[in-house]
Amino acid sequence: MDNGMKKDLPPLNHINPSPLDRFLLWWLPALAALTPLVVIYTLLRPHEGQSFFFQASVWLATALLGCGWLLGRHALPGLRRPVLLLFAVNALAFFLSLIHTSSPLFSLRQGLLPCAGFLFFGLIVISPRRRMMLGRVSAALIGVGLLLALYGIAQYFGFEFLKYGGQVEKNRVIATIGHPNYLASVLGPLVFLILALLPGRPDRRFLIGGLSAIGLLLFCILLARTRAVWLGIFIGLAVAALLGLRCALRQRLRLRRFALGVLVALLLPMAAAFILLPLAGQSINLRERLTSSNEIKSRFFYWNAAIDQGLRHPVTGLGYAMFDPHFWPYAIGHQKSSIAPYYYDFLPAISGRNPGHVHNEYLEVFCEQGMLGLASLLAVLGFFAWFGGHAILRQSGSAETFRLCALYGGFVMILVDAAFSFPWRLPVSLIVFMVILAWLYDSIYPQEA
Amino acid sequence: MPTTSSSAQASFRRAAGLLALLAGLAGFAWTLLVFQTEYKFRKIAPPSQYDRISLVDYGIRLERLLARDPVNGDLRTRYATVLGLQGADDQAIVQLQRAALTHFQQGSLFAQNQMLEKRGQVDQSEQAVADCLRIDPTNREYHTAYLRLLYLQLRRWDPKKNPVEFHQRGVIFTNAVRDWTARAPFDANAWLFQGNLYTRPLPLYGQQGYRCYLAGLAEADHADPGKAPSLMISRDEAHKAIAKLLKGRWAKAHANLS
Repeated sequence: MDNGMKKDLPPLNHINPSPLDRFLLWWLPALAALTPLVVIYTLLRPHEGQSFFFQASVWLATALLGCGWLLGRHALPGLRRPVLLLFAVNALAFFLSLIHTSSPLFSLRQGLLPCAGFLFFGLIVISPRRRMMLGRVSAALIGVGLLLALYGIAQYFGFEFLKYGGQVEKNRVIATIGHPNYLASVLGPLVFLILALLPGRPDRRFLIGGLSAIGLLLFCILLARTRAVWLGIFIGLAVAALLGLRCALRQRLRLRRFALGVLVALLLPMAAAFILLPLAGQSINLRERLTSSNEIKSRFFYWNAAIDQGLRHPVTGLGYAMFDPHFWPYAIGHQKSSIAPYYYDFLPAISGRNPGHVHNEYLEVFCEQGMLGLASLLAVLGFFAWFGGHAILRQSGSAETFRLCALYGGFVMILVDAAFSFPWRLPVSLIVFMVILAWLYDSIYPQEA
Repeated sequence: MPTTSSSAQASFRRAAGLLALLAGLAGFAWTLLVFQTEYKFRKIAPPSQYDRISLVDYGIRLERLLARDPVNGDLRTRYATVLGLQGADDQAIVQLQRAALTHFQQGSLFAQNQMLEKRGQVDQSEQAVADCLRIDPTNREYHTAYLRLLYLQLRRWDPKKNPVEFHQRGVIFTNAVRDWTARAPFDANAWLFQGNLYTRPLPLYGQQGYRCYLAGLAEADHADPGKAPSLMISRDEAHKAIAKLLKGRWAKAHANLS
């Protein structure tokens, strides 16, 4: 498999970074770090708008880039890559979903955020100093993520100084950015990002610092009691370990080093659960969390509603962002049907509020964009999963291999989390997902040296 | 040929640049507009519903904001509320229906019910509040509104002149009262209301009424003090009704239904 480089396009490294590239090299990491802080700021006020800063910044950066291309001050990067074609198909599915939407303007307005996410991904991968960009953005996310985790833990124990507005639902871990599920969707992948930075570092202090940071993040995630992220981290670590083992055997790398890495990766969550929690005088009632019937019932009903609604227009869907406005009319019709009595006990779990989202990205895409949207989404994810895995198997050095395994584990973790939450519809978790995707893109199409 | 290829590349670059520039500016401008509208909407404090001049001014400001962001469901729902308070129920219902296209709220459906009732469209109002109850069967406000509508429908018929219609509406009313108790067995008001049902308008079913009053008082006693709802039938009234039942006399119907 070639790396997709077209011979008629100049290699990217031959282009000296333009002023715009240099600007983006510090602006995108700053954006990644500032977005969570802006989200917190908006939650202290009685108004919405947590996506505003991220969306406005990315669209403005896109306009600047376009200006650079138009004036010839900035070279056009190679655009003919399969993943970009897949993104284009996703965009087509989005526009086709407008056929059945009850408000095309609303769907387009809500589509500004995922478009901004894709543009953020694009701005990273077309950078002539891609690795530097990825390193800086990752460092920015990890830095702000540790702050969020620290404050989340402090909130859990009753120490807080931020007065949230009425739109924030109180919880034992308020999670600083609005909801513990949201925070865990951000912190979970950061665990893998930190793991990816550890291999090949000779400095022992860096290693200790990294492991401590992972422990802190895991502790916060445990306190947040988010089952989807627990499951995602478990599966992500398992996939990373298995992939790493396969690479180690294939490349005849030192198995001892690999085994040590796996042991550390497994011990960290256990240490957080069985040492840190009791030290803090806390415990997790796992049975209660896994069987909290109201939450599970509400999820099942939302998923059921999404499938039923999607089957009304199975090809192109109901329209982007149309699940929530159509949910209660659907529920009313559902309760008028003959099977309504079987769902009477579900109603207290969902009454009195709007679901917002399906709490399953795949079903929400099916509901809102039909089979076309779901197929194109799975194609994109499948591309990164398949070729990302192959890219890992291609590696020759142990540090690079294990680094990519950790990133791959983070990717898997996000895919699992997306089956129970909506991380791609909120700005901070969307940024983290795009950064992980950009890392995988870099492994599939390494920038020319 | 190199020259043609490089000029084609340059044209492609300029086209891509123009597209990116326009898309970027459009996305930025729209994001800014949406956020600014939302910010202003949240910043404006709603006036008292009794201050008519301020209500009109508030309504005009909301209308201007809606022109900038017509798909903001919260904003449109608030605008509909203001129209309703000003007495423009027709326009309020239209605005609520438009808001529901992007932001359907149970409360909006109930608000529509109240406006329909004010306009005398009792049948549509009954349907709207019945839909509210389908999705929130324990909501006391919805139940009392529904029962009030059903009772008004029942009173339209004379039991002697229109026995069939009266009986039909009586069955609907009775089922609604019982449904409230079945769906919200921990609500004291549901039991007290059902106790009332068995004393008037139905013929007296003393034993059932007595049982329901006792259940209602027991639920009221055991309710969480922080969450206990105010009783529609006071304890004194319930005790008086029980005393009359025990003496074999009629109890007084609840005032809110008359």
